[in-house]
Amino acid sequence: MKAADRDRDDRIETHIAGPLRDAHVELDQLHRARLGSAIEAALDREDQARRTPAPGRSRRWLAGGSLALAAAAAVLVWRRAPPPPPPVAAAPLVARAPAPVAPPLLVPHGQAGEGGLPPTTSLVALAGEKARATIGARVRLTLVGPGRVSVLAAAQPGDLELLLEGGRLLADYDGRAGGTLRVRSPGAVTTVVGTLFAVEVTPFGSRVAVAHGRVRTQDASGRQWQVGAGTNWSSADERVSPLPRDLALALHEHEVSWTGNVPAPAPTETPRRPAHAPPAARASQPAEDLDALYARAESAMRGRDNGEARRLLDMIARRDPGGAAGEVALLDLARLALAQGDRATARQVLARLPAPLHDPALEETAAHLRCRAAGDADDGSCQGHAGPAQAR
Amino acid sequence: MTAPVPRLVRASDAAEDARLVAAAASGDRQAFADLYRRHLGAVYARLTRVVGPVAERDDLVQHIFLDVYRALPRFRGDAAFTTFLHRIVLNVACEHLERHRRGRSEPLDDRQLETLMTAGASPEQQARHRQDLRRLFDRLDGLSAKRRAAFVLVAVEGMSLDEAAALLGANVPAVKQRVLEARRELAKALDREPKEST
Repeated sequence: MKAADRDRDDRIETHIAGPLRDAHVELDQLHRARLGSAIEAALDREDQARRTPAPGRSRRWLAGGSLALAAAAAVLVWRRAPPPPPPVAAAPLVARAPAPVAPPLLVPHGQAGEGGLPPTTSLVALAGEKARATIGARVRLTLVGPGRVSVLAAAQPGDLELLLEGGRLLADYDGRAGGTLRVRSPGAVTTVVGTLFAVEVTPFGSRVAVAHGRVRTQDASGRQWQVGAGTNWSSADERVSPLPRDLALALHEHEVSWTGNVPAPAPTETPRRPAHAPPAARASQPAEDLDALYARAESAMRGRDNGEARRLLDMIARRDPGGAAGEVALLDLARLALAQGDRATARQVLARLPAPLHDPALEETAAHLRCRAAGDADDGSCQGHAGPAQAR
Repeated sequence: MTAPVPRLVRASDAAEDARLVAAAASGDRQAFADLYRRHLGAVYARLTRVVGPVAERDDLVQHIFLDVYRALPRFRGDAAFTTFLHRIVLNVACEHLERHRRGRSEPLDDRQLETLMTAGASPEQQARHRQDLRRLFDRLDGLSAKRRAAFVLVAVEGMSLDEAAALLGANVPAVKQRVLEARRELAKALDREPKEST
C-alpha cells in the first residue's frame, strides 16, 4: 500500500470508521420491549390480513369468471377444487383473536379543560407537573413528572399495554370487561386485572406499589412476583416491602382527584416490616377466573357496593383456599368488616387464613389486621405490633 | 485503532436458529418470536451503523422482521439464517438510504445523536461528541447506499470481502471496488473540511 493510501485510510479510521464502530448501538431493555411489542403487533396484522382475502381480489376473480363464456371453460372452473388456504391460515394461529390495528388513545384531562387537549398515544409530564388522562372508560391515570407514558399496540384485543419511561404512574384499572393492563417499565412488566396501583421509574429500575387489589409483576429475568395491597416491590432489590407513606398518599390523591370523597388511607394501613416476595401465586383455580372475579370485587369496592364486594371476595376465598388470591380476598374482607366497625366478623374472616400464609409478603398485613380486629387500633398499638409470629 | 466489531451471531447458534426457523416456517408464532428476539439486538446494531440513528429506525426494524416473516416459507436453508436475515437488513437499509438521497432527508437532531453516546461524559464532552457524530453521518450521507453499506461492513465491522459480498448479494470484486470508492469519496470529504474539524 502506498504511503498516501495508508495516510488516507488512517484518517478515515480516525474520523469515520473508528467512531462509528465505537458508537453505542445496543438496545436497552425498554427499547427492546417496545420494539418487540411493535413487531408483534405488525405480525398480528399480517396474520389477520392473510386470513382475510382482499375484497379487490375477490371482485377480480368474479369478474374474470363472468367473462368465461365458453361452457367448457366454465365447467373447468367449476370443477376445480377451491384454492388451498395459505399455510399460515391452516396453522393453529387461526384461532387467535385479531389484534387491534392501532393502540387506543390517551385522552388528556387537565388545566386546558376536558377535551381541550387532543387524544394522543403518549403523555408527558415535566418535572413538578402532574398530567392526567383516561384510556377509554377503563383506565384513569396520573403521571407525576418528569416522565412519559405511551400506549403500545397490545397483542390481544381488549388488553392494554403501557410503556412508562420515567416518572411515577398512578393508575386505577377497571378490568370488569375482561382483558389485562400491562405496564412495561425498566426492569419490570406489571400485569393488572383491576386495582389501584402505581409504577415508578427509579434510578435503579422500577417500583410497583399497590393500594387496592394485587398485581403480578415480572422482572428482567422472567421471575414473577405478586404485589398485594399495602405493599410495594422494587426491581432493584427484588423484595416486597410495606407501601411507603408518600406513595400511599399519592395513590389516595389520585383516587380522590378522579372520584372525590374517598377516605384517606389510615396511617396504620401501612405494614411496617419488609418481607420477601414469593414466586408467582399457585392458584388452585384457573388464574383468569379468579382474576376476573377479583376485578369485579375491586369494582364493587370502588363503587362502595360492599355487599357485592363481600359476596365476590368470599367466592374467591372459597374457590382458592390456601392460594394467594384467596388470601388477598380474605384480607380485603377483613378490611371491609373493620371499615364498618365489625371487629367480630373481621376476626372470623382472619381466622380463615391458612397458617403460614401462602404469600409471606402478606404476613405483616394480616398481623396488623388481626391487631386491629382485636380492638387495639385506636390507641396506635397496632403500628408497633410484634409481627406475624407473635400476632398469630 | 479499535478492534473490529465482533461477529454478531456465533456459529454455534446456527443449530438453534435452524430449529426455530423450521418451527416458525410451519406457522409457530412463538418460534418466530424466539427467533427475532435472538437477533433483534444484532439487527438494530447493524441497521444503526448503516443508516445512522435516524428517526425511522424502529419502523425499519419492524419492517425487516415483517419481511423475514413473509419470506420465511421460501427460506430453504441453503445459507445460514443470519445471512438470510442480514441480507434483508441491508436491503431495507439501502432502500431507506436511496429514498433519502432522492428526497431531502431530515438532519439528525441532538436526541437521535445522543442515543449513540454512552453516559458519564461531561456536558462539554457530550457536545463535542455530538458534533463529531453529526459530521461523521454527514460524510457518510455523501456516499451511495451500496458504497456506504459495503464500507460499513468491511471498514467498520471488519468483515471479509467474501462475507460482505454474501450479505450484499454482489461478487467480491464489486464489493472491493465499492469499499475503495467509498474510501476515496470519504477522503475527499475530509480534505474539503476545515482543518480544525478533522
